[in-house]
Amino acid sequence: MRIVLAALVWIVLVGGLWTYVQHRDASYSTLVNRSAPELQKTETTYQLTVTPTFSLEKDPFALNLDERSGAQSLTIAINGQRLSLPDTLEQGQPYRIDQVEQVVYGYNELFLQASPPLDAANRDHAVRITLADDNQLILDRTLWSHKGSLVTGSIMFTIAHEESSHDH
Amino acid sequence: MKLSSVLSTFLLLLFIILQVPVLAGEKELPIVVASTTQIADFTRQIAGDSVQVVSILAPGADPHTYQPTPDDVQIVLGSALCIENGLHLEGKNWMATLAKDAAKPLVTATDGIQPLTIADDGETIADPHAWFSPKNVGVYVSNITRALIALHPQHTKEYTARASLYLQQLRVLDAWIREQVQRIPIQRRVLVTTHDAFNYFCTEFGFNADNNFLSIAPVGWSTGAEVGAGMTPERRRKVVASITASGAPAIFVETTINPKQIREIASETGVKIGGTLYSDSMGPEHSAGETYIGMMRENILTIVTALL
Repeated sequence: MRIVLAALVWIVLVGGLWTYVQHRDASYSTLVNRSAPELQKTETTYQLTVTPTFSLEKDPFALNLDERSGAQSLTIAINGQRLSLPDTLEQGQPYRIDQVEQVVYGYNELFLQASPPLDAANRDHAVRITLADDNQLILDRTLWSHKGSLVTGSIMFTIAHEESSHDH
Repeated sequence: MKLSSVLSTFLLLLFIILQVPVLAGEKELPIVVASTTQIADFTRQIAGDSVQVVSILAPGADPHTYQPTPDDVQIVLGSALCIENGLHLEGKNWMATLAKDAAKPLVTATDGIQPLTIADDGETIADPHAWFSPKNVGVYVSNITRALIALHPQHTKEYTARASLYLQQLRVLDAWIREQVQRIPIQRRVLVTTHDAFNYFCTEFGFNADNNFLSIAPVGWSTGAEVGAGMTPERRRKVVASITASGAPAIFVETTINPKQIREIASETGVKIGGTLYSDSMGPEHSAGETYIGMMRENILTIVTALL
């Protein structure tokens, strides 16, 4: 009789707990579907110029997940979209990208990450970035790194429909 | 109240409590088995809490002479993935054998590395101690990340993000090592250790210029019985001569190897023991060398302090 009672108690407690666990998340099934506002690309195209204080070369500390991606030492993205870049840039030589089309009206973000060569790790390094359209300079910034670390940073800028702009 | 009633009630409650995790839907984590402590550390840095990482070797164990136990066989049998160093670090390929016998996928973390080669008795051997160059560890990280993504594609973004962070930490480690090492004049940058584990380190950071930037050690690349391994009288003579000629200020013992031989050489040459280096294994839990970055950091501090 005692054993039967113990089994009944077990069934009630454990069964109740199991039922609760199975149904506790039911209230989350009706989450509101929120979509991001649509971004409108500008009609203007821009020119981006990048000038590093170091020569870019293959980065041994880049994550290499497949043969196609390789070990890139320079990454530039505007609003999350990566730009196509060469594998190497010469020290002090500006590299210009025409027809930058990723800029939108409103808030924009430019992200840059560059890896200085390891044998120059005892110096600080920098990359100068300018963005311009046919009429004016939109932004002109320099990102710095301390010894041994990446040159990395994000630059926010806005483009108004009236095409008056400033960077943050 | 009778003791038996109290005991029955207690056991019942205990049994109920133990059912809670199972009922809550918690699943056991898949197990990833690493042969060495270093590979286990790299894997944890990338995988986070998504898998349970188990190292076959305990801290301080010698991978060259290790012999798997029945417990190791059971661990591998229960695993989802095995990762070895490769390049014959695992003496007689014990990790590959464990994985093959259990029909488990095996990843070699050193795939894609350009190994340093050691010539001995007409044979060319690839040096397996590749982790002593942080740049090579970048390759380990990429290989392990790929393997984890193949195991758990749903965690690709997390694995990639953690790997990127860890690679940046390795980059800073590399730069810091160069900054520390450059304080030692090249002429005093002589590294003598118990076994030939530091070839990649010497080549990368400019030690032992008079020995083609390779290790100086009485014991070969392996402490086991492979070709080029062990200590020979010729090797010992060469080490003593190198120490005498170079005026090395100190020589070093290693955590995984009996220090008797190196202490005898120190006594014979009148050179001090500069300290103990982590070589084939990281340090135990809660020690300064319990991670790869900690291991390299402590090694550098020991070496620089002794040689300056």
